[in-house]
Amino acid sequence: MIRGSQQMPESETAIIKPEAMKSYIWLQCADGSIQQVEEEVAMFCPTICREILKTGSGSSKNYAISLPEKVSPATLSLILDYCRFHQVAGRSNKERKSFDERFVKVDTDQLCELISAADSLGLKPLVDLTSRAIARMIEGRTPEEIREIFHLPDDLTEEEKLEPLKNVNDDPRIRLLNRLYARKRKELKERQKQKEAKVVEERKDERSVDELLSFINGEEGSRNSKTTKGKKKNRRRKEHSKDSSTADAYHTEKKERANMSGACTSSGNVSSSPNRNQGLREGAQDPFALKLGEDDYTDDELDPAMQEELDREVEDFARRLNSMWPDRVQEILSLGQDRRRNSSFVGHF
Amino acid sequence: MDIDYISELPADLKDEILVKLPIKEAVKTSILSSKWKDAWTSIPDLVFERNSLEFMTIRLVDNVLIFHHGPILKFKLGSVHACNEAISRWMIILSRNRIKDLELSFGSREACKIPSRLFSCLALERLILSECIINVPQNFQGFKLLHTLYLFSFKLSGITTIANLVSGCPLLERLTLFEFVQQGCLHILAPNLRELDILGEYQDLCLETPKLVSGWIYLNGDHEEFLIAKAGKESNIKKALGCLHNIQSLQIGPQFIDYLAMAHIPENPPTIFNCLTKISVTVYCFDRDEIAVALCLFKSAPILKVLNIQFLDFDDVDQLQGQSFWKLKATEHYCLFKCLETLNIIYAQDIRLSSRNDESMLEFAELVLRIAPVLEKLYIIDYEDPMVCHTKLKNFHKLSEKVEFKFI
Repeated sequence: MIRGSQQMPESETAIIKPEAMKSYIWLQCADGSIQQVEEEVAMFCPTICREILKTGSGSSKNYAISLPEKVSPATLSLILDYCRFHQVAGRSNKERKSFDERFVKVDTDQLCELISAADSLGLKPLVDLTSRAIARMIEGRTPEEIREIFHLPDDLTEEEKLEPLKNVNDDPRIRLLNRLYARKRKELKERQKQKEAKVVEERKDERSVDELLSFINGEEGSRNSKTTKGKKKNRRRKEHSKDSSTADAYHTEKKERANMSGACTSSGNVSSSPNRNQGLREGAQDPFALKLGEDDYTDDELDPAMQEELDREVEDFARRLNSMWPDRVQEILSLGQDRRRNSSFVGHF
Repeated sequence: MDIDYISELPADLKDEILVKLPIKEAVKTSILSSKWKDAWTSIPDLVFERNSLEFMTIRLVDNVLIFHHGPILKFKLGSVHACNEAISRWMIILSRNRIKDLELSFGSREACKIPSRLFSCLALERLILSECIINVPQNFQGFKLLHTLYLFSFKLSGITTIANLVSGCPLLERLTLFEFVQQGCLHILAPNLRELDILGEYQDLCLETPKLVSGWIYLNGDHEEFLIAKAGKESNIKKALGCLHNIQSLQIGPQFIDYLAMAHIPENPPTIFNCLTKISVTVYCFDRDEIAVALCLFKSAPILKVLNIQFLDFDDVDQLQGQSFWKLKATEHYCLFKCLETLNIIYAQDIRLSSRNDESMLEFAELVLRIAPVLEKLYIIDYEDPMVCHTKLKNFHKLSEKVEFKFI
């Protein structure tokens, strides 16, 4: 809130205007320093504008408009630059956009001061611009990085830190991937120990990955990706989109889903060779486990070559998950979750 | 000394920042420090959308809604494969929250039933629903504040009609109805409506929308279904479009023109659209009724500035008499093309070009060139053989001095 200055005596208002071609407004910061700025620039700030119109202050040095504490002289200059640029009517959107982009290329402390000052001066578009810039600095960063950038104290207990993560990080695919990762590590370690059975082990490993995949497909056996064609069409409809999807796409999708749900319910009845069976059941455990189970991943020393192979396999798996059957995986996994709640299966390894 | 400025920002500024993060990241800020522990719980907008590789799960939405406190002004849900129970319980929370902006797009696999609680969210100003089954309850009082309504791929169940839904929203300004089936007449009564997009199946259309500025009307249907339309004595143009005194831009599809052509087609236009400056039509060039409708429409727009026209052709029709329809029907009319500045003739890319198509197009071009005094641009888009066409066009008599031809 701007604390208004004193009312101007009537006689003086008559005298001020005529001489200057340009009228100036006087602004005073909390620290006492005074700045002078062109009237049209100052009027761009809603709160200053209101103050001028309401109390008539600002037109001389003695009757400067007092600005709120949050607005430091340096920040005020920046803001006035912003106003000076944007209040010119003839500028193109492109020009404005590139000015804005350059404007927010300041350090985080400056950004925080800007957003605060912009808010107290009522400059909504600048608040928008700065908040977006700050959000960009937060997005995609780890908590440690964020704390460092913004000088945040790390003052939460471990328990407090864990709470929200449990809720957010329950993406079953991520958990599935983590589980697979840990499992592969274990298996590779065993492989290192049992060099004679290496060949057999490898085959079993690959098979179980494939089985996991095919289980997730909801099919037994190796029926592959021919039904995913319909899926790849992007059918998300945004506002005002004028495309009409064909009835065919609908029908393929509906059929696929029917297939899937059918396969899902029969997933328990695997009746093949013991090895395959075990592989499938093990695979079955992964999506159905509710526990986060991060303590499974102890960092063992693995041969770097093994590590690479491991990484590659997991990456491959992740890619396949993401690109080919995202929606179906999601569906089965969440269907699986619901079923899991009813059983008393503790499921972890 | 590194000062922690950001944590001292007031809650509403923190909200401004957090709202611009994807929801998962916003929630994750709760582990940053004690001052940020609950900062996210008051954000007014909750947007659950898939971004890159991540999915939104039912569990996430549940948990966010549990931990959230404070008003929820905007709720957007996309790409969550939610079952009907989840939607019901979320709707209970949302309806208690005076929600203003609600967008639900379900996965296209199975339409989701919209819980009746939605209709008690009386503070709604913007509503977008996609892939759903809507059943408007009997005691629906209407969304008195709703200004935007977009419905995509929806079904109405029970005795609901679109008319019920729309007439309960007196302030409605933007309406989109996309992919739906309405038995009988589609009647839209919306006194404040400014923008309208329709693509669906209906047998008859009646628009009581006097303030409409922009219309986009397409129809999925067949000749056989227009029984009601055929029976009418009054012209369909008048019935469907007669109220649109303020319309500025109109785009209509081929089947809709078909529908307009069903009943009586007057020689002189039944309504004059004094503000209409832009028309986009798609015509089957050898249907004399359609051409008559198109001409009637052109005549009813005295200040028409831009015309986009696309010619289609039937594969199997062999009408040689079709050749001079444009000439036959276009008697000199004091309104016709007098203000036309730009004419864009569009060839759809997947329509096989037939020579009859060309002829019709050239005829039309000739007609326009002959009677349009201020025509400046004649653009032909996606045409395969510009050279031949260009020479022909150059030879036509031009009423306007400065016509520019261009092939894009």
